[in-house]
Amino acid sequence: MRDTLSWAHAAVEAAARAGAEHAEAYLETGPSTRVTVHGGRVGVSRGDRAESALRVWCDGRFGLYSGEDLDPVELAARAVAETRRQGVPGTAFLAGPQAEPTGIAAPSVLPEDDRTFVTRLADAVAADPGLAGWHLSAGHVRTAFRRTLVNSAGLAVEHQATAHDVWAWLEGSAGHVRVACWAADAGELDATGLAAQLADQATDLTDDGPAAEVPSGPCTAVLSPAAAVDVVRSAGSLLRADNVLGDLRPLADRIGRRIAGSAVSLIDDGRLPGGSRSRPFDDEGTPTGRTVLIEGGVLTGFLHTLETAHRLGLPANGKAARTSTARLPRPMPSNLYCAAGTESEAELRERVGTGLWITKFARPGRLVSNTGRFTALANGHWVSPHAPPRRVRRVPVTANIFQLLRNVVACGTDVVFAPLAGGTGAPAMLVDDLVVG
Amino acid sequence: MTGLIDPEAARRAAVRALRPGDLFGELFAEERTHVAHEIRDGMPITSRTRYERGMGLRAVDDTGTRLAHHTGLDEDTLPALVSALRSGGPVTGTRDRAIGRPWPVLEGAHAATVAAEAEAEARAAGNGHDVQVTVKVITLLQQVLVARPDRVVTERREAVSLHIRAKVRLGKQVRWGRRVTGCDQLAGLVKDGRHRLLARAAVESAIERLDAVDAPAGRIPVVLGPGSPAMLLHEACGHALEGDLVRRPASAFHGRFGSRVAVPHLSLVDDPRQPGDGRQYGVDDEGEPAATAVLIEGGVLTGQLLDRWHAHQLGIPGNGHGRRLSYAYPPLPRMASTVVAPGPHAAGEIVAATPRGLYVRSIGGGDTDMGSGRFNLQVDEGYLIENGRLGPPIRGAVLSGTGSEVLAGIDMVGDDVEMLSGAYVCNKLDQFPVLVNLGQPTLRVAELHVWGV
Repeated sequence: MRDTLSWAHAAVEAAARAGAEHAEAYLETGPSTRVTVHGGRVGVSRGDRAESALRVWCDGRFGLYSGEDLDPVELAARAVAETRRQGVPGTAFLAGPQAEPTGIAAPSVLPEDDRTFVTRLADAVAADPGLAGWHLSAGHVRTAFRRTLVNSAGLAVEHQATAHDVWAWLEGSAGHVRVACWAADAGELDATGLAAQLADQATDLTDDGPAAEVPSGPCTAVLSPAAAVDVVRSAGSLLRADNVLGDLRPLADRIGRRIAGSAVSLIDDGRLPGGSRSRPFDDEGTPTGRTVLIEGGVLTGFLHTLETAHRLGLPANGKAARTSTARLPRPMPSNLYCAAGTESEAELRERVGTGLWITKFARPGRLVSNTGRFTALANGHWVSPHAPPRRVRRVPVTANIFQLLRNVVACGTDVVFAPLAGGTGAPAMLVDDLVVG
Repeated sequence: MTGLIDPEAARRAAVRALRPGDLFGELFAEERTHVAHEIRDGMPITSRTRYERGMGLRAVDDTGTRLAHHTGLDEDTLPALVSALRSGGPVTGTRDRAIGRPWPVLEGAHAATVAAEAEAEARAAGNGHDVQVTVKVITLLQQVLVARPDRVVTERREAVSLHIRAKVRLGKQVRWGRRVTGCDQLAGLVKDGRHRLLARAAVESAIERLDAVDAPAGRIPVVLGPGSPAMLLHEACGHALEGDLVRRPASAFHGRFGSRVAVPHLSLVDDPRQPGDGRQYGVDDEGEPAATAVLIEGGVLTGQLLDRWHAHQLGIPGNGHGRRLSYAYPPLPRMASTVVAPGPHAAGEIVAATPRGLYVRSIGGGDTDMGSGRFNLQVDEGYLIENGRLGPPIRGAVLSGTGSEVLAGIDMVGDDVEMLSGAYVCNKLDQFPVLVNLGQPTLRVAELHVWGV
């Protein structure tokens, strides 16, 4: 499937010939290399990828057909026939032609320095005497990833980028730690830095010194960026327009009203320079851009697909994403972050007085989306003005995510992006009335 | 012959791919079709069909694994795969394809009917409550061919699963009820009205939990109900008994073979050929015949799950547990159908013998160390046990501990094994999702750390 645009046009045209009123072809193609280290052994997998998806609408119904190695004409004929028979009632919302040019931005051939990064990482971990007895599993996936979208409304766009995704899992008798990173260029990957992150977390895990007792009830807390990203990610997930059309319908009436502390500005920028999810158009073909969801604490927008924008009477903003070609586009954050404030994390800690300094949540924040309830286990320190910080571990904290956002008093100056939190970015946050227990 | 690819051409490619010093290798070719039907409030909301096909050529030596893979199935591509594997270079020289090869047709109408019947039953069970029900039926057909220098094997694998999610709202309160089941044929889902019973149970569970109370906290007796709570043993013990993990000195069970790890009436086995309607496979993704792996017998640690490499390392026969996410991934030793054998106690007897504790009917997500078996898992559905009887449902709880602690703490094993077949998905080293079966009878853990959320 070298000529992806031709394939996509052929599928859309064949669907029309078969009787579809509307059709949209979406392709993800390109070579990939996956290098892993596990149990001291290196695995190298190379190959190509040729995934396609066709959505068709006919007789008031639609269906999604996807897969690999598909013939466009055969797929279109089958999609139309089966959609007529067992499709789902639905209306087509399709992006029109784009004035803005899009194109191929990177070579489709991957360089051949396959084993180097994960083996360097493994060497760095092995060289750290503090990590003796720990076992590393890691993977480095490199893709030259091309997305192609053609629809019956006249849209035809393609975009290609190279991406490096790295994950590392280090496990010892005290538990496991994990880190991840993303880069557009292999030169940005830092094996020594990643090994140091693993070592820091492992040290944290094995520190079995006495932990402070934390009193139940509300307290003031500083969330380090690594903890604040879980809050920002949860908030961003609630601001998906499909949630607003469902359980969070009252949010639709809160546009222009305060829902967070004035220190909070939440932004989703699909073209953030260096962002892991930056791209010129979303998975429906709508141009991406910078969307301010919360500005100075005031709700200003939601994350939209074409359909949710239509249903709420608002313009689409390029947030449609497919988690795979087998899935329908849904509104999802791209590069979501909370804007920086004016004080350093150290200055925010000084403002706590007596309270919690949360360095990390022990596992991703658990979110009950229909109520916005956020519960998590916090690791960090108990701080007070006249005593050194004392370690705390796995302290349960609970908050309604909107109440938590309202209680944010100030944000730190450094926004840190976390690949393990879906690429979300956050600065440190000073929060009042975080409930322990 | 499955018709995926010419078996002799595939075998020749597997032979040619090996370089001096390679220990073994294979060509794995597959074709999969998935169909998903989803219904909410009487209306279909998803109709999704996915076709996947491709092949991966692999060689294994003492230092690691090389794999070259390609989307699509055609013999013309085999020389390019062989060349890539031997040279260590990219897969090039494959031809552009516009293959008219027909896809298998999965009959979707019956699956849609099953989903509709379950959804209607669930709504009827709402009994005047504000209920929203989502029902999904997923059908999977996979055909595989594994070609090795010494053999070519083929297999057809099938799985269907039913996922029911009920949401009940009363004022500001929202409660969920979930039920999942699976088997190898659609007929199994409707046998004896199974789909309707589960749909009703999901709604009743959600309604019942409108009156939920706070979970107890501390170290208390925990009774794990039959069926899906086996997820705890899968996560906290099963992974630690996979060949690649158990060999690590930090692993929970490293060096403990032949030792007692549980009470004498507890046995744990994994048989991918699981009798009944939950068969996973008869030959694994490396072409090895599936066999029963007896992991714990009479409370003594006896076995592990092996792929070819780890069997080779140990110099013992494998047991057919080399599994891969797809042709684009190398096999890993993994669980397939892990079941705790029935024990001597009646289920009712176990609850009756527990004056106070927590009864767990299902477990949701969480976090686990694969090797050490340390876990924090959320209880999706649980009840207080008060005076030897099931009490009110609880709102939310987390179970914490280690797999070996759970095994050592099990003091009663029920006789009521239930299976959750083909409906649980497992993640290992970013190879997700792989379908597995789970099963267990009612088990009592004398003491486990519980905290409320």
